[in-house]
Amino acid sequence: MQLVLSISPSLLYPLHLVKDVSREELTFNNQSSDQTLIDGTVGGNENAFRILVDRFMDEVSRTVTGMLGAIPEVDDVVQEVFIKLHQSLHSFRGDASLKTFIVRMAINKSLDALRRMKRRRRMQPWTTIENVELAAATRSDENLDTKEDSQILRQAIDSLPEKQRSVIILRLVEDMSTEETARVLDIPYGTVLSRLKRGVERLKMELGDATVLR
Amino acid sequence: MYMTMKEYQPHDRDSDLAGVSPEFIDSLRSLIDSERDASMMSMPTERIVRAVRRSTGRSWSNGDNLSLELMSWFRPVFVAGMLLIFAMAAYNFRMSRTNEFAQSTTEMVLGLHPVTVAAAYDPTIEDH
Repeated sequence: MQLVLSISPSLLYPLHLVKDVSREELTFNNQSSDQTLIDGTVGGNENAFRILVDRFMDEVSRTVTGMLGAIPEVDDVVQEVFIKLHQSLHSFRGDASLKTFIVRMAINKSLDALRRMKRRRRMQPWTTIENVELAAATRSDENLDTKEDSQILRQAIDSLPEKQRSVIILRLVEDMSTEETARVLDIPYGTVLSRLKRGVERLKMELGDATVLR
Repeated sequence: MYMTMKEYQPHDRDSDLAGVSPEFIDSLRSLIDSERDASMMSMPTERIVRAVRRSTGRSWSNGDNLSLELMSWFRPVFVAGMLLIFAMAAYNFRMSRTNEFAQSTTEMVLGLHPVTVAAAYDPTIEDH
């Protein structure tokens, strides 16, 4: 009994630490650096991770949508990217910027999703595929001049090989430099230039006389 | 909900984009922005945080912090205990080497007398 009484006051000490951890949550905000948020996330702080997700949501969702188009899987893939990020943050050594690290994950997860979809398409009847494509195309016409233009542009993007498509999305949509694109895709500078050139040529060929090209 | 890409402004590094009109780049961004708004469900951050919480299987509760603290406190006790055991084993081993009778390594480490049939029937058992 005496032993228990002598131990119990010391057991209160961790509760002080618990209070410190919860107080720490308040110190993370939108101005916190990437490294601070990474450290917080690795240390188990949910608030730090929430701010990281908010910070990179636009880049990830645009990259994934650019690669996949307007399909319901986009939401799942974006979620997968951030779950993967959470799992691999402890191994992030800071050789590249966090944005490069995350966008690379977004591209890789999008490519995985494209391969899954290709496999699924082989097993689906033609009518179902046409319905899905039609539904996707009709949802994406709000900010362009005509529905037809948006459909033609999406079809042209979808016709690009995956490697050219990822360069086009990073370079033209995400406004990354050629060096950044090379770093994200882990390919040489010259390869980015040649894929971009071939991708743009192919887009022009696919679009033909469509008004979006003018 | 999401930020829309700002209008495309060509800059010096864009020499590799010769032949791509700014209007085309704007159309491309506009298409992807509208596609994203159509495909993403509301409150993505909260859903992602919940999914991560599920995938990690647990959240950091007060109980987790308490057990981690207890483990960190008892680690030095464990190390000190192991050192004490090794010191005693070394002492036994060293002292047993001076014995004139043959002993196995286990007997030497544990400081045991050899158990033989002769020793078991030895009438002067109080010596052992």
